[in-house]
Amino acid sequence: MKAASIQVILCKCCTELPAVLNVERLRKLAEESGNVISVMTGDAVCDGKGLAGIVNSAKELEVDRAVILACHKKDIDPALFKAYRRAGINEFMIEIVNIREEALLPHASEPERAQLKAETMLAAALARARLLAPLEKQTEAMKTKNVVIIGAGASGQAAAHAAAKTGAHTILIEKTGKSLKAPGIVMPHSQVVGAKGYGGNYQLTIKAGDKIENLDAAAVVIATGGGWTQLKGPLAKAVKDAMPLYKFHEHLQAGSVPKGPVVFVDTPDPAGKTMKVQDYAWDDTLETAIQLKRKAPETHIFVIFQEMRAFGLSELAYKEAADLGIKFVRYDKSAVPKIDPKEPAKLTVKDFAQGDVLSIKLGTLVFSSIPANQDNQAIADALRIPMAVDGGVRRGSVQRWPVTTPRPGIFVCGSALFPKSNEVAEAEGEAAGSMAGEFVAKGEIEFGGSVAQVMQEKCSACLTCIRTCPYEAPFIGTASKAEIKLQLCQGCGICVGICPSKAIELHHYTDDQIMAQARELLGGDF
Amino acid sequence: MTAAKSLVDGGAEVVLVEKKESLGGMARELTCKGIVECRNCGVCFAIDRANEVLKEPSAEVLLLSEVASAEKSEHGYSVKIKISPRYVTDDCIGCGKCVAACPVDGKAIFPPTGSGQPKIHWIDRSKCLHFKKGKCEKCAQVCPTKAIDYEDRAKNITRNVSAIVYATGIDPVDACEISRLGCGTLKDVVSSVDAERILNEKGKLLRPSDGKAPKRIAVVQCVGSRSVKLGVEYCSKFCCKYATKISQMLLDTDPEINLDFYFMDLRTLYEPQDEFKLWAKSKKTVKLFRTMPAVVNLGKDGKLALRAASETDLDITEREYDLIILSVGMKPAGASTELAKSLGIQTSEMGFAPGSKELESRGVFVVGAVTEPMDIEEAAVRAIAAASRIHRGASQ
Repeated sequence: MKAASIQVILCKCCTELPAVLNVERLRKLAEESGNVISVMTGDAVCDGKGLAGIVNSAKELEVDRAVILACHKKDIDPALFKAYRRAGINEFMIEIVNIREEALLPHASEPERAQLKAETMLAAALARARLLAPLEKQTEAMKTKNVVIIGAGASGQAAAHAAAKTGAHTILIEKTGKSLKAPGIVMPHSQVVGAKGYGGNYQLTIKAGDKIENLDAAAVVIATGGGWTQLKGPLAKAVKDAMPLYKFHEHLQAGSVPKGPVVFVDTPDPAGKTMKVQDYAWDDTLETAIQLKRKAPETHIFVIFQEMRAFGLSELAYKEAADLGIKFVRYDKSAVPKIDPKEPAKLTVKDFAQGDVLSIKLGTLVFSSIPANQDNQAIADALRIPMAVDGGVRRGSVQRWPVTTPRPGIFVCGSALFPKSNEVAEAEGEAAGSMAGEFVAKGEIEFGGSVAQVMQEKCSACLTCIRTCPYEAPFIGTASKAEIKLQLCQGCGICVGICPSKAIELHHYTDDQIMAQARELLGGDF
Repeated sequence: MTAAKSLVDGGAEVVLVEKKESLGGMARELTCKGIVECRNCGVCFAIDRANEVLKEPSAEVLLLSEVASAEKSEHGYSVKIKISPRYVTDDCIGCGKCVAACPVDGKAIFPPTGSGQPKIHWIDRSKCLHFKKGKCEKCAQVCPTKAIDYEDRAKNITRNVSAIVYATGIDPVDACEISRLGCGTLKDVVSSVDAERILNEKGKLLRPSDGKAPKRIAVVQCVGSRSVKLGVEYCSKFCCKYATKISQMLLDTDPEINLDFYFMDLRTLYEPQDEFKLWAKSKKTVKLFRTMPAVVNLGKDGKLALRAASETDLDITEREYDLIILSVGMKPAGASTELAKSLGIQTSEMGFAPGSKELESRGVFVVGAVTEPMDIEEAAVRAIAAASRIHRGASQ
């Protein structure tokens, strides 16, 4: 193998200009290190300035790797990597040292320590750079332009329209038989029961009526909405004709006003242990209560709740409702509202703030109908994405983009995340749909690079990696040894650390590379 | 910014007009709350988008700029933009030597606020001696890249666009408008915005009065939200979210801190509500009080004495703290400017500009927290949705 030849770039704005570091000492250290062919000053690599000079020199001197002392990698102009690529240097052969944020800024007032840290970091980076190996990312074409949307409620329909406009083929999967107008294909009475594959090329198993069908999908949007249309638990035993909020609202719109007092309760199952207290779309509850009070001012209206989550402008409705004479009673999980089946027209509840037990004459019981959908768990299991503690689908990190999930190509919107009003659900649907559409429009998926690889001769097929991997990337291959499905591997390194036979290696973060760096940083010999 | 990024991704050309000297809006002064693990606060999301937009060739970013007028033209709007002089060119690398050299008390040349992007400095003409007395050129002398340009002049430019995205955002409520909680009179009572700014700049929160690390901290919710007196009758929606995350972050920095959290209703948007309560239960040093504190006075030894009624009866208790953080709400910004009026943007009773289908049919899209209270994440969702609608309008 040809010996490593390193080009070192000292970016001017990060090393030289704040006049904290002794750049000559850094330069000398670099020049005197092994394998270093050239040390250059760069103008401002973050802005892509002076790239031509750097890259031409790299070509002339035939260096095959670079160490750049600059700022954070994400601040550096991607043009730098492209320019190096043209000079034949792979992006994985470039080691970037964040001298600005890790040495300069924390030690701005203590130049000696800043210098020591900068020199140590440079030495460590050089040690690592000597051991770097080029890696190529691979691409795979998406087999289809299908975006599968699960659920045809407010958010699902918005997602279908948005995705269709980007040129994707939309397939709307709806559990019930409700008829609707949406672009693309609509599959009523269908459910997703299984999924294989990865972002860009999923194979879904769909239960359509009694038939099981397979469906290719490049991206999936989960828009299952909220659930629960019936009372649960002890209340259900006592009250037969309770109404979910949306139904009550429909009746009210149609002009029917109930006789006797109306009680709104925040959940279909106040005594339920499995269902945690949720976000409720309080604006809908409050709006309905206000409408009722305006239509029939003499009706006694009670709203009983655990947590008044009147977000944003809903607070105004809360105040308006209270001003109109609607009574609000907060209860605690320790004393939930009760109805004696023998006396179905009487609801007792302990007012938590006052400590009094109230007895409310009951005409109609209306319950908030949109806590988390009970189908979420099955869909999350099928698509293998995590759930939040309260029964909603867990969204991915906001750091990336909203309405994403931890799995690429799977998006989530609306009340599938947590209950919310139609307006917000539609906005989320539009966002998720257009993002799914853009994902599909790329036409291919990129994978590989810094991913794990099993050294099969060391593998004892103990299954530890398979059980541990959060992305289900390892599997037992035809040779009865573990293999990594590259399209699924996110390069997290968990399997590498946990493998008892030390049979897995993470490219770009191999033991040798990490230890060489650690030796320089810690100064020890281990 | 998210709208701009989404539009550019979809192939559009974008002109981004920002009044301030850098991109990032409110998020510039907020701090990442993930010391141990990411807490999904969304602050980095805003700053990352700023970086991306600045690097987009098809996005023209105009800073220190304001839209003077927008007139309906054949295919959209003809927009007149006034760009104020910055007196520092793009060659600035943000080294800060000029700030150190500036002789003006309180400085006349500034770096961008907080984590704002890009890192180009700017000169306040009204304070700068060069403009006031015509002689000082200290910053130009020390600048290593010759980026100071005293000849910079205001520019007026016109751009023809097919749609306008109106996203002027919010201003925090001034905590000192509620004097009973000690803001403005007691040094160690800080607003959450101040607390975040300090955390963002210094990485730790010390008592402003003596620079010592606080051991007992109170966090008070709903300061300037749900307040009839201040005219902010709505719930600002994001305060519970950031306040719970700051609390968790403070405990991450120092597990010994005793933290009391005062709230009316816990409305942690986008987070399962129980999560914070369970977290608080798991920490011996964290207590939740569901009550609105009545008054904060100066107690013994420079400590702060906070008086509050208990949740279920009217017993009044006084507790002592080293530091009190007031979680302030927000007010819409720029909802009722001349420009907004000329575009036909109407404001609600509470001063928000909700936007409408009718406005969108005329190519005016109002997004972000100027429409109603929302957090960074929801603002981003709304912006992506608006960008999708703009693309659809354009492709029809």
